[in-house]
Amino acid sequence: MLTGTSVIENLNLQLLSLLDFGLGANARVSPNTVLINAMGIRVTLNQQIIGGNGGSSQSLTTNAITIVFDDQRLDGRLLTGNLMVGSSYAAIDMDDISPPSAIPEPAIWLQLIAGFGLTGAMLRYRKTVAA
Amino acid sequence: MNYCFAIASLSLTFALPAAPLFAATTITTSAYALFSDIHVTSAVRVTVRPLAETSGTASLPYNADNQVLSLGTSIDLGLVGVTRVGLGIDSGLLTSNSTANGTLPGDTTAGSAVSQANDLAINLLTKVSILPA
Repeated sequence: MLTGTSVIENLNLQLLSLLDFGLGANARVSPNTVLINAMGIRVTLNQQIIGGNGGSSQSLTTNAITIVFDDQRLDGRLLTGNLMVGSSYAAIDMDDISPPSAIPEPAIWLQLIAGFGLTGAMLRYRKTVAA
Repeated sequence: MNYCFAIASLSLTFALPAAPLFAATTITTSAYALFSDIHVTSAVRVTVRPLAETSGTASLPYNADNQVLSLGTSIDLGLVGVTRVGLGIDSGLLTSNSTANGTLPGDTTAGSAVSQANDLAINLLTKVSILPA
């Protein structure tokens, strides 16, 4: 299992007149804390994006802060794009762990049958000799 | 006789399912301090490539650190009407850390992706630009 953490100390965030936000020392915010998601601006603190198949392949991206501009209006023009600060990505990959089949291969069957056959033949030969 | 029993025993041994085989486990990490791609329509497009980017793949156990001591970037987004738009990013120490534990191939593994930002200031500001007559 992968876990993610972002620690943000002393944050000062000012985006036009839409957002004026600050954090003090040693601030810890919950994963995927959205400060604003309006007027074409989305700000996420401690963003955590889970990937992989949840089993043999797992991944986690942690971004301290992500700002997405999605057609934010700016005097008749549009502001688009994104900004990410403090990104960390980890992925664990395990090759498929599958136990071998419980059904023996044909060669093993032949070996098994041959072994029992030889044992039976030897027992039969011993009985004949004893008689 | 004993020889034949030995063959039969050997055959049975081979016929039983073998112990599971485990494959290698690896961790892949990457990190960067800053990435930006911002576009103002009919004006400018500014891309800041990932700064202080690192990446790698390794076997377990794994612990990778990435650090940027300070960061100061000013992105000019151009003139929009009579206002100039700018994005300023200043930061102190930026760190990221990726770990994975486990000592044997096939171990159940756990890992982490941690980032820390100190003294981070991000300002998207507009400023009226007075053009000369």
